[in-house]
Amino acid sequence: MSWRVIKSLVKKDVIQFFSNKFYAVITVLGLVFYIAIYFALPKTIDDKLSIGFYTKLSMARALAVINAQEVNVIRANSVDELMRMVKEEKIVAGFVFPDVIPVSSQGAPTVTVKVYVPADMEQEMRDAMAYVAKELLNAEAGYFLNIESENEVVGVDLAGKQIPPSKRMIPVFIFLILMAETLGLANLIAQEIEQKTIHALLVTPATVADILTAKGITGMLTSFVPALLLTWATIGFGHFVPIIVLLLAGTLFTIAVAFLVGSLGKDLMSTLMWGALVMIILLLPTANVLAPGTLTSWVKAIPTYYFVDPLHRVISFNAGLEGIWKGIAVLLGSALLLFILSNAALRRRFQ
Amino acid sequence: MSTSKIVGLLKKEVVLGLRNVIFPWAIVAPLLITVVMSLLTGVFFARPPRLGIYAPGETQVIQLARETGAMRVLQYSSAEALKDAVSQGVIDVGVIVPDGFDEAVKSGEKTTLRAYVFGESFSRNRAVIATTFGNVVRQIAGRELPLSVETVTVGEGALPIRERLFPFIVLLAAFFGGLLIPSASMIQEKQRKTLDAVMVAPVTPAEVVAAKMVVGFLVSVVTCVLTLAINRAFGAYPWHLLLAVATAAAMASAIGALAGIFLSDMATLLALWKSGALVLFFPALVYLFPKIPQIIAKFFPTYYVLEPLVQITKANVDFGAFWTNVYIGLVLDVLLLMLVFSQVKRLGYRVK
Repeated sequence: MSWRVIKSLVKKDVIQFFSNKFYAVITVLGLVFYIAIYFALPKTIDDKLSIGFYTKLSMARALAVINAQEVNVIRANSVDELMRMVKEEKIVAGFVFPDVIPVSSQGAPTVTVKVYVPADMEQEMRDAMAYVAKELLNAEAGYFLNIESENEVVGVDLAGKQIPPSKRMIPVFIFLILMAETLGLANLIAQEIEQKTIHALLVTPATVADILTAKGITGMLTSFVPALLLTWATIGFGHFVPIIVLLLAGTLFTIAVAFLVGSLGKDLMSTLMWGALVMIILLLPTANVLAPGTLTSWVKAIPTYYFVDPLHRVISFNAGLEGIWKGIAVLLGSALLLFILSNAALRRRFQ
Repeated sequence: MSTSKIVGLLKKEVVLGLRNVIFPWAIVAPLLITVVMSLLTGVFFARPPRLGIYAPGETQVIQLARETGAMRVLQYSSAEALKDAVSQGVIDVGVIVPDGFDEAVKSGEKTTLRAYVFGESFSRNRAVIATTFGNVVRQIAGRELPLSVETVTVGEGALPIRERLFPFIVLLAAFFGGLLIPSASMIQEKQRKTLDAVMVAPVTPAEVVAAKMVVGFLVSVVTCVLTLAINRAFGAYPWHLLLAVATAAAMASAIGALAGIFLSDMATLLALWKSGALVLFFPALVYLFPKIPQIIAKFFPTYYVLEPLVQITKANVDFGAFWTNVYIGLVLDVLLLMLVFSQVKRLGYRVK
């Protein structure tokens, strides 16, 4: 390998990359767009249940029970005030309890509790509010159950201090930036094959190894730099070492993917389409970062799980290198495997 | 037009189409958007509470908990599986219901429950699960007040976000493949000059266009049905639903055929798809943003294929409005088809 040749090839590839307006625009626009969305998203999240009620009952016993469950409760002075609070979204539901607690005996008349809910409330939540109302009145009547509950919180208890959507989105944005640049690199490779410029290059002192190394370095520049800029713009310079290591490993993996997609694609359209299909599969693990539990254990079979999950743990739970090294190892191992596969595929197409 | 020739061309379209990357995309994209939409609504809006139960013995708890409708209830075969599900966030809370639990609560005997709580679960979900589960146990114990609940909706118009997103997803499912497949296929054939080769064969331009439209129509129907299945929105009238789907699919493939006849490159098609999307999807935006007056949506042709689709998936169908919109949709389809077949000669002129 000749580093002088590689340097010239990298220069050529970078110019070629940015001469494609589509990829040049998505690189810059993507970066600006993701940063703008991050700052537009809420930085806090209120995960508590807020309810209101109106009654002449004291509700002391019910309040003692409900307060233990970290529920915001507001007492209204009238039904109108209660309805207004629901309309203004100060509470998710308002209960109008009877002034007298009914007697629980066979043949006793049924008493109705009114539950006011907003029009856009999901049916499940409407049903849930009915049960909350019933439970409150049963508690107020002193109808306690002789049950003890031993609770064990699994993982970090985030009740009342949930990770806001803005923070959950960062690993997804970083991943999207990396993958978008991957498509650009894949297109460079596909063009080289389709326009037969690869054969012109191979009659120069450049070898196949030089060309692939140059493409890899170009990919490193066009993927790693925007991803790093996005990270710094959103979370600053905290977690410096684990973030840099993860981004490097992630970039290597996406370059390997780009080589593979590039060996499949024929032109901009087909590279874009095949690349996007691959990207969708690789994007699946981000679902669990956005909403934990969306996908079960099988998602761990997708290598990008070992990029987005450690990144999420570093950003949201302050994990260090010692907590994420296994993920990095899997990611690098997958990248190596893809490099071997794509190298073989590309060498075949180059010939 | 010869049916046998159209069938022959149709076979060619399907075989060659399967090799085209647009084909899998036409099916994947709407389904993907369905998944992404539901995922994002889970991130930015409340997710329903999810309770997991492991009960080694006989108990009414699972059945009664499911009947509440207030939470999703999953049953596990072991305490380890339950805890694993909690640790992955599949469920918010996992409860181990001990053997003989029902008898114990009925007799008022003190009972201990073991519960695993997912650390990242929302406080509101934990509260809903605790109170609903408490009510379930009350039913078994027979310790509950004679109460009934009347739920009153405050305000009007706004539907839950998932219901507001549904028309957009259905319309996308109908139009993405239905429109792009015939148009992209025709443009690609023009670019590769294969259309000229077909034109010198004993087939008419109308037969070529008809075959491409049928492929678009079938893909649109399949994608639409899959999307409805994912969204569990078949409703109670499957034949009416299929008619509504077919009306939408016919409109999509006719518009796709028109685009294919008039356009000559993929870049223009993609540009048209992006700019024309507002016209196609405007009626769906009216559902998404209820403050936009619905009367505006009626000026857009896709309203007359979307409205019957949305209507028929609801519990209370207004059949008067359904049939009116279906008839208008069918008339629009016929007009579009007449326009398509009046323009097919444009393809034929290429070889004259």
